[in-house]
Amino acid sequence: MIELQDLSCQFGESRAVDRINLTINTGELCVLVGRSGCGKSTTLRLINRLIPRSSGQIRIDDQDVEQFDARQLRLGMGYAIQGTGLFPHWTVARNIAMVPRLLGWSRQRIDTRIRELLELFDLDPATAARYPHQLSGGQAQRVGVARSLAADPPILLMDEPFGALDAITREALQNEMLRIQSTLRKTVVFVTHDIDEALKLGDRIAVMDQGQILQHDTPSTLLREPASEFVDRLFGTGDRGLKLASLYPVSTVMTPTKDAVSTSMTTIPHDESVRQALSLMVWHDTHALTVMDDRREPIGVVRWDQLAGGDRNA
Amino acid sequence: MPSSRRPVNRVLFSLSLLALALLWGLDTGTVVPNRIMPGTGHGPVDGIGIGLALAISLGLAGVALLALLPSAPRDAFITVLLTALLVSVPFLLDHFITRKMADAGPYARAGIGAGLWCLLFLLVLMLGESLKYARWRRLWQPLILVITLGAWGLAVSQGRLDALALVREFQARPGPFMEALSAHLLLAIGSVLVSLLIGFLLAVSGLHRPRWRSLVLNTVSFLQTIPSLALFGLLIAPLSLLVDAVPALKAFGISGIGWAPAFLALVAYSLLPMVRNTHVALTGVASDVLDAAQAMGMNGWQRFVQVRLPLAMPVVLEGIRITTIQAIGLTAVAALVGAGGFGTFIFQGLGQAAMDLVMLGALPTIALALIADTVFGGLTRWLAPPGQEPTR
Repeated sequence: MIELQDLSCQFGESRAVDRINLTINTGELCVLVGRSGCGKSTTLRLINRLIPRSSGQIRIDDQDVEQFDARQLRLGMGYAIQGTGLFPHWTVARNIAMVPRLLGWSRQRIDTRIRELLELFDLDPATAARYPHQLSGGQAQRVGVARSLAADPPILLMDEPFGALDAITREALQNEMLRIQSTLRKTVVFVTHDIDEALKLGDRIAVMDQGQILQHDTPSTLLREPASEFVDRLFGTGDRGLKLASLYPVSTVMTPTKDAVSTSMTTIPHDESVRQALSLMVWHDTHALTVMDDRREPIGVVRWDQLAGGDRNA
Repeated sequence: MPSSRRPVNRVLFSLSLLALALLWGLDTGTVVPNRIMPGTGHGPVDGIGIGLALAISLGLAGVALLALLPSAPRDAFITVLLTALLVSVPFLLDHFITRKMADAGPYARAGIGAGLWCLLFLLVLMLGESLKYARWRRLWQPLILVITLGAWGLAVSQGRLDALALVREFQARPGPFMEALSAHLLLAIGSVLVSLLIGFLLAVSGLHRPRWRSLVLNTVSFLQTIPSLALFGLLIAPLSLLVDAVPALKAFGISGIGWAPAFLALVAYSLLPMVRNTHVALTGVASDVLDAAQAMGMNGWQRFVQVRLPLAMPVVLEGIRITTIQAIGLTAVAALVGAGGFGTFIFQGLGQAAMDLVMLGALPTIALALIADTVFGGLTRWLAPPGQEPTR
């Protein structure tokens, strides 16, 4: 658990972070979202003490971070940034091995770990011997995230890790992030300026502006009950319904049934979002879809008038 | 090379035509009755015979034609052809000497004609151009250097070029030549090593201290603006005073003139390229990489040794290369304060109006600079962090 209490950070006259309070539960992915210069990256860098705090407290599992040696603290936190920050003169394997080597792991243990991580991120084992400049943007960013997980730290700090990627690669990596987080359950602090990314990844989202946290809530609460006009505007007004619909899979709104095939010819995988279901209905000019499971067997039906209210069922 | 079709190489084409024109338009060799009298020139047909003159012309025309070809392997052919032409030059001279020197007087000596100088110069220029595109540049360059120097060495050692004025000048002073060589090398290499040590420490110490850094950079820039001769001269008086005050220094060969002022001046001159390149190299390392290193738990020393230094290495080496070439050139001037080196011959030659003696000092200086360039080129490639290599 990470607790920020009355945390401030002052650069000369301006307050980059202004008396913020934030609790991030163990195993939770917390997104810090806001425009550039709102203090979200500074908050992240306060947590691993890259920037000294001016006042307030940062506690990790009830221990003040000031009690740790700064290096020991950082070795215990994964760190991934935009543009990967990979060391260009080291191979992928050496890059991933960085923190384990600093921790003095045995060679064998490091090698095993590298293989595990490449597999986890769906990377060819031959990638280990490559240099960063020989990788595609998506591969390099996967290695960047893999490196941050190398020593299996309980906490992961990520500063716009997918910011420099094209839309398609970014979505692929977001999905991978969700898949990996669902099994690893790390405590993640994820900084982004991309609202859709925040809604997609965050268990809870802290909206920041001018060094302050305006609202800290789950994605659906932020959409339905914005605490201020700023949050309201940030999350868009026109397509808010669509944003909400993209948060939930169709399985939360469908009617389970065995003989669904007769109802509709158009199908949708059960883990697709309600937004996708709506899109398919409009496109195929139909009022109902057959929901399929992972083995492509029909498991239910979702109708036009069921699409609303997915967040209340979840 | 990614594509096998190549645009016409206009540079090589024009240079080889120019070389052809100069070969035929200027003297190939000269015969001088004695050391300081002007000689009589001989054109290519007269000097080396129509057959050899045509053979060389054919080679140059071949280079010009190949430069027009749009296919990729042409670069290798051009490089081989140019090397062959370069190697043939000492043997052209040998031929010239056999033809022209047989009935000349006992003090007569042969000189390299303007046409042959131009041919040599243009060949080296063209080789540089063709090597830009060669696949194995770092392999070719030392190979060509060794072959060319070997050809000259062979011709000289067999006594074929004994009549050549340059060789005469050398044979008149083999001992001083070797002394000059070792003095030149010691001064140049020694000053580069000392300036590397000082420059590196200065650059590193300025890394996180902006005010100290600008003081250092301004000081070494100022040193560079002092004319070299003036700096050599300026050091004579304080060093003499120092030796007078501390006579024990004499035991180390330190005095107002000689190697001591030259060495100090050379170190001072070498500091600017060394400090500036090292500084640019160290600060040029991408900040996100250093940031990541810190954020992941490296301490300052680990960051410097494992990340900053290896990534900066190619530019640091480039600085050492530039400094070394500059120091080799400046050491020639150092002869004026009695420091020895090849400059001794240049200034003696100038004083005696004996241009061949000037050449005996100038040519080895150029050769040393070229060798240093080749050695550091290879070293840069060898020591470069593997991730920095351009992909082929």
